[in-house]
Amino acid sequence: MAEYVKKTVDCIYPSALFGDFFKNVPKTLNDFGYSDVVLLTNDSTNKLIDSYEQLKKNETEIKIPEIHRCFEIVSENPQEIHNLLRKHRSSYDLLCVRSNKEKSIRAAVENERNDFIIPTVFDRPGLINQVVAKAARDNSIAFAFEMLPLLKLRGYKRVKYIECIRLMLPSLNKYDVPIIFMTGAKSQTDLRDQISLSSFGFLLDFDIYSSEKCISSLGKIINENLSRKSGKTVADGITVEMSESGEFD
Amino acid sequence: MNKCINLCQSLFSFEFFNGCVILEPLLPTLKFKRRYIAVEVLSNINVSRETFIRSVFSNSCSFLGDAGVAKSGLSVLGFENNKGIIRCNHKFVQKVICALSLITNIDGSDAIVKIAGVGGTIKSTNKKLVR
Repeated sequence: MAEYVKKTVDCIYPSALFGDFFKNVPKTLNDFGYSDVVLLTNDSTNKLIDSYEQLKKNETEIKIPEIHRCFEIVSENPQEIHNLLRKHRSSYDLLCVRSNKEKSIRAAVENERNDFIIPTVFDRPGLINQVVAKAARDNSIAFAFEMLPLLKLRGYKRVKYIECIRLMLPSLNKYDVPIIFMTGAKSQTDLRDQISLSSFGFLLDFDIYSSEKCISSLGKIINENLSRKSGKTVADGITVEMSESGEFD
Repeated sequence: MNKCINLCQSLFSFEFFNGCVILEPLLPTLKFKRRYIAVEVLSNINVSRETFIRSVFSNSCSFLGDAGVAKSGLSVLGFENNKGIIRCNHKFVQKVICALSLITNIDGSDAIVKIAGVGGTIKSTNKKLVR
């Protein structure tokens, strides 16, 4: 079984990597304490990601966060979600679904190819009920909560957002569904460091260990997907091992 | 002897101090413990101490409320060259960190408040700032 290396991962949009605010974005991401960064894209050929990888090749002195591509599906049609998940599973490191409708969240939760869901729910916390949580646990799908609305919203809307997440958490915790914290940054000024992201967990009554677990749960999903792509894992609990001579045992 | 006792009693009496009640100092176990948060402001402008204090308290009050900020014992100890130390109650450290991370704007320009570390003494938090 592959050794699990703990990773602190943030999930952002590619537009957050470029701008005038930071001179050296890879260095700032390293200072913020992230070992990996997941980029949410809708485009298979993203020039921004290619130019970041060029920047990464030029830097040799400091350790730069690794990039993983995640295809974000934004759709209200359950059939379209299933089709897109089937189409893009092999070409991306991760797949996620962003939605605020009951049908699309249900479809996303019942499909095994999906990795995590970003619920954009502000006024209906009842969308994530016990049925959805149980299906997510069976298919090992995580739920991700963003910090960006806390930065952008003020007053009643911000209160409502935190309240909705608090109401969703009991059904998720009952079935031990993995939870992810992410910034969801769309520009450089939305980026936040690892300590600030873990403090988001304290708002929701998490303790230190569970909030750190939420930051590193995406890393676990990435490791599993990479080992599945490399051909070493056939199914959960079954791995293929090669001897030193290169032959299968 | 009786005169001495009477003198002592009169010296430490309620009437002698004009109605002031002498309070005993708090036991060390009952005092609230302090934590010091090392903070760095990432911005295109040089932020002054007064503007930083104003933005910290306005954001904290809008997020935690006036009562919450009072409970947390929040205060800015020092701020220079966009780096500073903030003091708070040990039970409210994470809430104060969350309030600081929600600061998006200082003095009209975009800013990010980066948390360099948390320590129990000023000396240890200074080391985190220097790093």
